[in-house]
Amino acid sequence: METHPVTTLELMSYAVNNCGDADRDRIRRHAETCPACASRLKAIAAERADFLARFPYAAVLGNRSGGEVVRRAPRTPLYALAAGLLVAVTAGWFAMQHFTETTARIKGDVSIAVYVKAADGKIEQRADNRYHPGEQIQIAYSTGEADRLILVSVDDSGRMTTYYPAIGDTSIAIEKGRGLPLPNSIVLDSYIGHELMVAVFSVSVLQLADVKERIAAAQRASGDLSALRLSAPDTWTVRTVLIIKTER
Amino acid sequence: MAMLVDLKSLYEQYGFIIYRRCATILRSEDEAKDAMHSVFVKFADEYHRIREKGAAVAWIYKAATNHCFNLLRDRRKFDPAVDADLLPDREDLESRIDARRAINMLMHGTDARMRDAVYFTYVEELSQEEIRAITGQSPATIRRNLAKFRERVARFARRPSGTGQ
Repeated sequence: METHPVTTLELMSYAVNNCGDADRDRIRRHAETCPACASRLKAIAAERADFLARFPYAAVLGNRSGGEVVRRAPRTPLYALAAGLLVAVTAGWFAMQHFTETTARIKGDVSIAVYVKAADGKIEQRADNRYHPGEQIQIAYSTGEADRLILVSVDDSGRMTTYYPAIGDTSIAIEKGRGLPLPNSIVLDSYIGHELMVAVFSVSVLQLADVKERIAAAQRASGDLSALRLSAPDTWTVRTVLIIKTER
Repeated sequence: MAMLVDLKSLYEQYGFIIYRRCATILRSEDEAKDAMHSVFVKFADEYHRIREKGAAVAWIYKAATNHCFNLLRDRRKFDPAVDADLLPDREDLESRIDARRAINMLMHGTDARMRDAVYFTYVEELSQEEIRAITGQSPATIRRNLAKFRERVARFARRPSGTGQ
C-alpha cells in the first residue's frame, strides 16, 4: 500500500510549529513539491483563522491576559481556568517598583538577576539566592546587543524547565536595555533543592534543543550545578543564577 | 519550578485542533465549545511535558476523543460519529439505516480500544502508525480491532429484521 511521506499528524504538528528541526525541514521541503499537502496546510491555516474569529480567547477563556503561570507540582490540583485557579501574574508589580532603562547604552554588559516579592510585599534581591516554595520571583535582564533569549532551568536531577520560548522551539526576541523584567514572573513550586537558571543571549536565532543538549552535557561533565559551565559558541552569551530552594 | 505558559498563545496555536475533534464527535457547537474548554485546561497543564516530544497534536487527538466519547457515554446517547458510508464493504450491509443502527449499538457497547481504532481509521482517516502514536495500539492490534468491528457489523446486518435496536 502506497503511503504518503507526510502524515496528517505530522502536517498538523508542522502547522502549529510543534515538531523537531529535522521533521520541520522534511515536511517543509515536501510541502513545497506536493500540491495536496500545500493545500492542506492552507486549509489548516484557514480553519485556525476561522476558529479564532468565531471563538476568540477572551470570549472563551475570559479576560485573562496572556502569560499566565501554571504551577506544576506533584499532587497539586489541576488549575482550572474557569475556576480562576491559574494565577495571572504579570511583571507589573516589579516594573512599578524597580527601575528600567531602555535607552541606556549597554555594550558587553549582559546579565540576569532574580528578584523576589517578600512577605511584606517589598521587592528584594537575596545575596544567598535562597527561596521557598510559593514565593514569586521575577527575572530581570540587561543586554546591549543581543536581542534574542532562551531561558531554561535545570535542577539537581537534570530535569529541565523551559521558560522562554513558552511556545515554539527557537529563542524569543527581547528588547535591549538595562534591568528589563521578563514578561512574566514565576511562582516557585514545591521542589526542594538546586535549580540553575540558564539564560542564553544571542543576536541570531537559536534552537532550544541545541541549548538543552549543551546544558545536559555540561551537567554530566560537572556533576554539580554550581560548577556547570556551558560549552557554547562565541556568538552566545550565557548567564546563570543558581537558585537554592529550601523549606521555610 | 513552575512552568511559564502563555495561555493565550497556546489557545491560539492549538485551540482549533481541540475544537475540531470535539465538534466531530459531539456534533453540537455549544457542546464542542464546552468540551474544548475542558480539554484545553488539561492540555495547558500537561503542555510542559508533551511539548518537548513534539507530541502535542497526538495528545490532543487522544484526550479530546476520550473526553467527548466519555461525555456521550455518560449521557447515554450516541449519535454515531462513524458514518455507514465510510465503512468498507458497505454494500454488503442490508441497508444504511440498519448499518447506522448497528454502528450506534456497536460503538456504544465496544471497548475503548476498538472504538478508537474504528474512529481514528474511518472518521479521522489516520494511518495505523498515526493511530499508534495517539493510542499506543500496534498496527496489528488496530487491524484486529477493525476486523472484529467489521465482523460485528456484518453479523448485526445478517440478523432478521425487527430484531435488535
